[in-house]
Amino acid sequence: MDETILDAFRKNGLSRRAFLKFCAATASLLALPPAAAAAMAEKLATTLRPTVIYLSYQECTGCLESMTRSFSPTIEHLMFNNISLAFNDTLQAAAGEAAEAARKEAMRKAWGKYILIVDGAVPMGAGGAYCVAAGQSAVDDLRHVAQGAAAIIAVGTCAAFGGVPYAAPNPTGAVPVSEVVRDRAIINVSGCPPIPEVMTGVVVYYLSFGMPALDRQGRPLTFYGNTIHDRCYRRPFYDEGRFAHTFDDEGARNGWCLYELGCKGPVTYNACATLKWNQGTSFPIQSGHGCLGCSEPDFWDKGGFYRPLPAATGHWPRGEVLGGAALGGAVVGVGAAALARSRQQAAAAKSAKEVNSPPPKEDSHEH
Amino acid sequence: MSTETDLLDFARGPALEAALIILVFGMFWRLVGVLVLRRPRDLSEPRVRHAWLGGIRTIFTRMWPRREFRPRILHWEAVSYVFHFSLALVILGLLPHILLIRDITGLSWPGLPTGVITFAAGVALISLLALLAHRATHPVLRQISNFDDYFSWLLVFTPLLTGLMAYYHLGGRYEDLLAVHMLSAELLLAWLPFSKLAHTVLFLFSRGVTGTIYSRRGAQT
Amino acid sequence: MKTLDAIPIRPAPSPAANAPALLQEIAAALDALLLSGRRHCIDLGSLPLSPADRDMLRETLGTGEVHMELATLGTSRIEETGVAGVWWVRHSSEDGILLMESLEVCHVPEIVPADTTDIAVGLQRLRQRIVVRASEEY
Repeated sequence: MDETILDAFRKNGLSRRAFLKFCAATASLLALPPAAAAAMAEKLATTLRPTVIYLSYQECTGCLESMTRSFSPTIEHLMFNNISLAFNDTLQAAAGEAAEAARKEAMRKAWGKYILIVDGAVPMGAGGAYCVAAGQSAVDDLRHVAQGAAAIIAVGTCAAFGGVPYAAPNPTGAVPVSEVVRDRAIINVSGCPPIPEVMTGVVVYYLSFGMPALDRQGRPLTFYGNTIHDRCYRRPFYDEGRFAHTFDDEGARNGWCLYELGCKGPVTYNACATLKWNQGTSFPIQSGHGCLGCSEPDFWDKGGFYRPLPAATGHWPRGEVLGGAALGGAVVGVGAAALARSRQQAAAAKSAKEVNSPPPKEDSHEH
Repeated sequence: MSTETDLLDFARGPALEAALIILVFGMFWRLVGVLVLRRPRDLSEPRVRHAWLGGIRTIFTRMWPRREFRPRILHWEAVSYVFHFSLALVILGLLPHILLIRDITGLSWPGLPTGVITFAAGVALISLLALLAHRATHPVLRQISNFDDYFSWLLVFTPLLTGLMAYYHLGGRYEDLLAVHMLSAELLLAWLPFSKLAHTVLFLFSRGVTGTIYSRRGAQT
Repeated sequence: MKTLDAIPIRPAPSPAANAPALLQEIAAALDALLLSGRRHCIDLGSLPLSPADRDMLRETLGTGEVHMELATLGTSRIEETGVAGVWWVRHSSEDGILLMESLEVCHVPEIVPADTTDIAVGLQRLRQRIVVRASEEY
């Protein structure tokens, strides 16, 4: 583990040219100026390959699956050249006691210096009993491993914001990583799953330049600085007011805006519209489905994927509640009118008495 | 945890529900309360058989000023109509509004091109400003205008302005702009029944009653 | 049933709005290169270039004498344009996906010359091979 990242490239039979190409491609991916590629190359050439511990808790493994589909830098390059992936229970060959022993050894050797990548939410219910591996609950394990980490990256919406387990009614008491580890900044790489290149890009950015600039939710601004709507190619249709009304109608076939079909693009921060998925093939809107908002907190509980943004999110029964309000209003109205009428009658009686003539008959002229 | 869409979630959720309840409750209170009041008994002979027909007719004849008054008020009447028409176009013609109405009532209709709506909103804003200037400078209007007049004006102006800002992403993050627009509209809905803005519903009844009384007396309606 | 190709995606036709400014930048960079030897790199992927922009760039810069192919971590094409000192570099991954496209203003892109450590490693290997060959001849 005392070799630099450039040494690791060479050891795998790759020349410095390959290393420079890797740095150029990654800098471009991170939307950094070309000069940053040179800075990255300089830095990584002398940076020791860091140990990376990848821990998975309450998750579906979708984030790891996504990461292995990254085209630049590929997970293989990441694993063999840039980092020493000391523990990942899905990718590693070892299992059981041997795996745990290897992890403990790697942590001990690199204590205070390793990068911790966390995948999945952490259940706090029943003392953390809902997620236990090798006799250790997720929350205890995370608290311990976090202490020796130089940086913590929470990958996926579950680790960043709670995700699926956190959605109502949250029976396991799931919480995001940032609520278990509260004493330091967590890099939140959210998305369900996050875009592969975003995940690997953030790791390489950290290795080259340290902590990236983060937004209020702890997400790297490089990838999460714009909304989907800001970069959506269907924006001209939104601006004109051309919307698809149902799936597969004429508007949908013409590629019009999916606002009416519940697209959450305007309020979702992610890089899907520019980086896209599957090596730049497409992204949900391009394939005809509105954005789910999967990189935002609580996106499961925002009223429904197909409820458009202007629609009400509450699930209150419209007919009953408003009917009740109408009835209530009518009752109060009648009451107020009855009060007014009795006052009218009293005033009329009083004036009649003053004039000393009998009060007029009870008025029956109601319109 | 605090998120970017907290304000928007509030606007789309409990605030919207509360505003609609207050609107319906308040409107029914006022309408029923007024209709159930006693009216002074008319002891004269009815000149027509069905006075209420005259009431209906009055609703329409009063939509345009009588010849005698035109020189003095026609241009402001026209400005007022331009404002009302543009406002209706914006509220009922923009697709996101239609989606909201559909969500609440189930009714829906095709929307208008956004460019038309933007133009209408601009016209509505300018005519509102003109009407405000008129109210503040006219020697009589100035004296009889009260808090209700100015506050109602503000509550109609703000959703129009914030709506344009939200749609075109001007002046802040989209989530906040949309939330502010929805909240300002919700404030308008809640204020409506208890202010002069209730004329949106009550004008039919006030013209109708006046017309019925006049018609019964044989006056022209 | 319409196929994918039958669904039209109509991008708005746009003129070559960015290319003229880019060409000015390249000219200024060449100037700086002549004066102080400073290199300059423009990441084309980061710019909103329309097809018309690219056509204008290609037309104005033209094709040069040098075409290089770099085969490591996928293929990369490095070509000098018709303007000496302006190189068009395209990096692709092993799957053929374009990773980065740039215009470099320099004497030769940094990725081209052999690196000292690589040369040292290569020398070691060559010496070993010479020894092996010599022993094979006997």
